[in-house]
Amino acid sequence: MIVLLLPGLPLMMVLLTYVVAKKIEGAHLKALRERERATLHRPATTEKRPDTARTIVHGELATGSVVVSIDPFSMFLVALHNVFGGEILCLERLVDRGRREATLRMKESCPDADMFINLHYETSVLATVSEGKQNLAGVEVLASSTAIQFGGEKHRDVGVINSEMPVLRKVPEADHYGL
Amino acid sequence: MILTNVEIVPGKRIVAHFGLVTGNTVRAKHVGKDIMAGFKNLVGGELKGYTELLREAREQALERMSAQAQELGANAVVNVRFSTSSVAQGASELYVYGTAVYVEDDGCLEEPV
Repeated sequence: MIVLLLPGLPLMMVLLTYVVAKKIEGAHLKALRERERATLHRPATTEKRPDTARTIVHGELATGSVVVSIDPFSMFLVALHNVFGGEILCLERLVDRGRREATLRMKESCPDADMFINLHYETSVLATVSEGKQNLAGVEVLASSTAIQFGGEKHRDVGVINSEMPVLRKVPEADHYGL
Repeated sequence: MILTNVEIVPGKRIVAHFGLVTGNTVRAKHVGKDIMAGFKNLVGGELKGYTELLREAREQALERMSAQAQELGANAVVNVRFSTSSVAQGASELYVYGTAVYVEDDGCLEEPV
């Protein structure tokens, strides 16, 4: 019996990791949406000078980073895509989640800031080398900007953000995994 | 030391430029963190050990850059940029650079009429 089950064990492991990864992804996306909604009044922009007549009284560097890794099922999909080509949605979603998380961490690192200007993202690949072969260990996403505070009374209507445009996202959150 | 990634320090006026200042550090992964990351890799998602490691390394690079700016007599670094690159087996370099400047209060911090 065990001899019969053994060949299917790697496949079962990959499927198990897929189920766990989907659960973790769902929980993370839910948490991201809530946290993004909570920080909507403190927008992050790529502009170097904010489009406002208000006086800036303080500015400082703000950073946020995260390292994300790829589960075996996604790696399997990547291998398939290498044969047929095309868009790899599972990886797009993973890096997108990383960017959103890094942006939120950047905002949370400066709780007194009213706005974040000159937002930059940097993505770098972390790799391990074993037996001369390079393996992907993870992808680091860094978000950096200048956190600014305005003078006078605190306003909650800085910039042009409204509740309908919460994130820099074009990747669908649909419940499918790649192909 | 004030750090910004724009050409100015908001609310301040630049009175002197001191040129480029840099800071870097090369870090290798801790074997314990590597093993934990290996387990976490099974399901994907965030690798907290690596996130923390790189954050600490980046802070050290920023401290080195700030110390260099301080030696020059600057009190701020503007246009700060980050760069990360793999330089050896399992090792990454965190590099940060910017322009050291001396800033003073703008003197007109009231709301414009």
